[in-house]
Amino acid sequence: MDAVSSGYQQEPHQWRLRSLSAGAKMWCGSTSGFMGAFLFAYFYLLALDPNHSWKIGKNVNPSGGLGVAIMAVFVLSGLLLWLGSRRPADEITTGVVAIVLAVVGIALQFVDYGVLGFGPYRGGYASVFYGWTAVFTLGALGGIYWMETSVAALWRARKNGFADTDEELLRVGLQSCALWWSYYVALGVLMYVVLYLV
Amino acid sequence: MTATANRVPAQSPARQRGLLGFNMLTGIILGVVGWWVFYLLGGLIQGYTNHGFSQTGQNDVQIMLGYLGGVIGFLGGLGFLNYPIQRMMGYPPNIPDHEVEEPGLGKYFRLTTDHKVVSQQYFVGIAFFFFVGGLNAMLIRTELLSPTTHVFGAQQYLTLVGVHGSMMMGMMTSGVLGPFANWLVPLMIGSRRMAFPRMESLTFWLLMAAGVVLITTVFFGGFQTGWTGYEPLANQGTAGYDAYLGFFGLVSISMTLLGLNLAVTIATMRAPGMTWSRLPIFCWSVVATAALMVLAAPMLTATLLMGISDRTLYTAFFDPGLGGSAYLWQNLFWVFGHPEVYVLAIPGFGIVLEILPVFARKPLWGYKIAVSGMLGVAIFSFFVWQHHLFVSGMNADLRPFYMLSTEIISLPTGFTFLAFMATLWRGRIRLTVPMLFCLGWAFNFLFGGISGVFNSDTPSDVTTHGSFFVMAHFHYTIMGGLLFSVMAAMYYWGPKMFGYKLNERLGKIHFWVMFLAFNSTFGPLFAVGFLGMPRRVVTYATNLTGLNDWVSVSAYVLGLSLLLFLFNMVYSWMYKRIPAEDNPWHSRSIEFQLPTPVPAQDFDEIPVFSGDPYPYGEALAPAGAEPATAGAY
Amino acid sequence: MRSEPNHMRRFVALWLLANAIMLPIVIFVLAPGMPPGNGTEQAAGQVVDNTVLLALSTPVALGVLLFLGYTIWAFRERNLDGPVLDGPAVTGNSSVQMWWLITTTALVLFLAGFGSVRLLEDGSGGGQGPSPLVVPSGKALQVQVIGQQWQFTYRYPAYGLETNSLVLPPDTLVEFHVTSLDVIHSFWAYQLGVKADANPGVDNIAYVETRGPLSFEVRCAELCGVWHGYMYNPGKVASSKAAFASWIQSQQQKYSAASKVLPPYSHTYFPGPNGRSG
Ligand code: HEM
Ligand SMILES: [Cu+2]
Ligand SMILES: [Cu+2]
Repeated sequence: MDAVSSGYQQEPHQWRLRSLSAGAKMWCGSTSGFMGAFLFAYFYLLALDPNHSWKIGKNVNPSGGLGVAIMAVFVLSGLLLWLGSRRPADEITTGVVAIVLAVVGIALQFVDYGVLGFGPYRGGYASVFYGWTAVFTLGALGGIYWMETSVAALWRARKNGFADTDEELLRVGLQSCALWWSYYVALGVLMYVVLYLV
Repeated sequence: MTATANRVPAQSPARQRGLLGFNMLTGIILGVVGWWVFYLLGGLIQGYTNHGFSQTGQNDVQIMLGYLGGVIGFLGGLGFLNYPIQRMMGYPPNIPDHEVEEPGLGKYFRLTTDHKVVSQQYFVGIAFFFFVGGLNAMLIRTELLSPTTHVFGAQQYLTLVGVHGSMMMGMMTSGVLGPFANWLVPLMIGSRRMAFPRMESLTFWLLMAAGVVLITTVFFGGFQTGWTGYEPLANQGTAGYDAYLGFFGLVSISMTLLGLNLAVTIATMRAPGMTWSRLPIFCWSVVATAALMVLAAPMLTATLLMGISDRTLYTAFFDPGLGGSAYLWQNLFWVFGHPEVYVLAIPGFGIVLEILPVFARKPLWGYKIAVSGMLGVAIFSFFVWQHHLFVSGMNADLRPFYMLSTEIISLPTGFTFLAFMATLWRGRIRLTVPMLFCLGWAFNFLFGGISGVFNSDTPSDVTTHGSFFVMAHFHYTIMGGLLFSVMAAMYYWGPKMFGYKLNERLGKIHFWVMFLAFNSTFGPLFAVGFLGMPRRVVTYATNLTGLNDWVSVSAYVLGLSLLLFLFNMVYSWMYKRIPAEDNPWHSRSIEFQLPTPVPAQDFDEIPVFSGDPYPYGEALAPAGAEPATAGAY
Repeated sequence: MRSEPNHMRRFVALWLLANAIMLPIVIFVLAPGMPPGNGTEQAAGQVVDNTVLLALSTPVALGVLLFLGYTIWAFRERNLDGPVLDGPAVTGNSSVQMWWLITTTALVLFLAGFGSVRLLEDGSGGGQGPSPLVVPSGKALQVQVIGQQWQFTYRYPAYGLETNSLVLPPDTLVEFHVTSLDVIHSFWAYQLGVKADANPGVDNIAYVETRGPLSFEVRCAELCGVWHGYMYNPGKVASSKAAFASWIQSQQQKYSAASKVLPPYSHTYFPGPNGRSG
């Protein structure tokens, strides 16, 4: 391999931007694998129905209303962040609202756990229900962290009038976060539809 | 290239350098503290957990929380929480553009963003745990010296097998990407760093935490499931099995991030002129492997979380009586598990094909076909997993399909062989130590592949499945394949990485002892399996004693050969230290055009690449001549 | 380069010669010893598979090994201290690639086809799950194999018998129903050529057509806990159908008391679905 010096001491600025968005896309891939395992478990146990124990006993059904509510809150959060990340003027407001909505979604999920009439051991469905919603909630916490750091960085930079900061990098950061978060929410919709509505 | 960064990101504030700064020591201290805090917290919810369906009546919540606390404390003590907290307060991201020289040994025990230091940490860390796993193998072989006299109890024996298998599989998945790719990729593509340097360091320390977690299994009575952790046996397991879950959980996260980081780096940070078609073949193998890690390892994380929640939250994913299924674990495990075994194979392809042109003094033959071979293997590996389950009774009608898909994988694998053999043809083959190991790789992997065809043929697999034949098969591919290629890489890049020459004569002795002992250990195991000895048994039919003894003795020699390598490393480092030349092999790849040791910032300036990656053979260069255009370095 | 020999021709000649020597050895010396022996139809079928695989892999292995050996012998740089000389700058050859692809594809497709045909012929003794695709014709004797930690129990529903030992009639189609009461085991009767996993809650069916009298070993082939290594028992194919009948009778007498309290025959055995309420 032949190589000569480029004369550039600094690495190309593009690298940072593209790394962030490429990283977010690949992270979407990882998330799919992760969630895919639960989706697989759901349909596998449903189809196999070992010992006729898909749902043991009566009333192994979560509240569809709450399911729709949680879903709506997350979808709104994802949508807001996505749209807001493309509009520099609103990015902080929408970001904060998206975070609050995600927190509300998680809180609602816990409300749901509180009013459920069944425990995790009540068959294959109950297992997948608890396991999947729990990891989804965990992932949403991660999403909140990511949103928070992206928004906070923009907020602080804006306060200083973007002096000494790489404005473009922060923007791409927020957009990458929004990309993943909307994707995650979409996976969540799939999950809620499967678990609560089907 | 148009825009060069003109905004210099703020350098991170100097981290505390003292003994009690953020380093391994504080990590360990906080790790222990974290373990106890979470463990005691877990004890508080004991009341709830004890009425559950955990068949051992122990408080798994407490133990899992303990591990969680320990890992958090460890990472916190290493300083992994500082940056996230800063970021949450809105401080902008800071990634050093390149590293500055940092004297002293302290950097090896810290969170560091220098990709070369991380790779050296990986070397030592993985070598340590490999040593532990190897020791287990020696003990296993000692037990198998006799079918009737026992050195270990049955439970201990299974723990040995399980820890050996898990340790090897868990550590060796990062065995090339950790030490070698972290070091090589930023040099080969001219990026001077990884895309996410902190994440790079995180993957290493997570792996170390994982190794420790696995070892703690001995304090909890070990585990009896082997590395595959099949349910529902696993659910009978005592706390020792929690260590298995914790171990693979951490490994899977580390793997995902390692793969993601490398894939992003190669995708986005190639220096000008480094087009995809000029990418060194080793980087291609990293791309293929990283893709598998990014997509498959999270499935393992999810599977393990299901296992954990079965033991702590009382879900019943794997309890057939309560609507779960033992098949579910087998499916999920192998959907991840087969890509995983190619995570162990593809980097080896990359290494040998990278090294071969240097010592055959020819360009890599069939670059495109070699690349498509690796990518093909990676893609196909997602569609073969039920070949591990031919006699399980699951989807038996699909067996012809899985037979076909499995055998089809040998086509792209064959491309690697084609490239290998054709590169040798009419070359001017220099039988140096790295070259010997490459040839050893070809020999061993050939038999690994051929025995794989027996396993993939369903009628034949009815006998070989679950027997020592399978054991021999995967040791041929992993130990004979991956480990031999790792050794080739050690001898080839080692001097560059560590700055001193390895003794050539000792290296040759090491190769021959290891090659012969390896084949003498695992070759007969094909026969042992054919004769009907199942895996993971502490006793066996007495007529197999002779073969087993032969294998055990060979295994000791094999172990010794690895010690010989260690000796060579230490001897050449401490006693007979000869600084390595910049380019001892007359290689044309970029890393060898840099001075030894490679400076912290790698390149002073971002390089611009041109021409083929393997420009051997055009002009018959006079002795020792450096490539004409490399003078810039 | 005037006196340069034709390396490729030499290599091919060498390869042909090696095959001429090795193939007869493989087919006539090694093949008869291939596992798992010719005790039953299915076992003999596996021997055929193993023989074909071995015979096909011989030229492949010889080709690669001889190639490596030949290149090292013929193209080795003998003077490593001298100047570093390069070989020819050949980067590929599309017709070689094409022929390689064609040959290996043909080989692979043949193997997959061959394996499938063999599998579909008689089931090869492998576990086929609850609804087997391949059912050898004939009237089958049903034998249920129940794995539990750490022993196998055999149930002959036709005779209302449950026992610890496995005896089969000669020249009979046997239908094994393999299941487990606790964890995964695997019923491996080596000389019969049968292997089928025992899963809790699953009825895993495997067929074998016995030939003459035979002694065989049954081992558990899936890690099932501490005493997995000790989970084995001998079995046999009786010398005649009459001998089998009398064995059944003796067993019935031996277990007459026990068989009255046995749970009814079922394809799988579970604790009640509501094993735990709440
Ligand atoms: C030092 C040389 C090695 C020796 C002598 C050795 C020997 C063994 C033995 C005796 C077993 C147990 C077989 C049984 O009872 O079922 C085993 C299992 C295994 N080994 Fe190795 N091994 C070596 C290196 C490796 C390497 C380098 C790897 C992979 C990177 C590896 C991966 C495994 C795995 C995955 C298992 C299966 C464990 C299980 O059954 O759960 N081994 N090895
Ligand atoms: Cu596989
Ligand atoms: Cu068993």
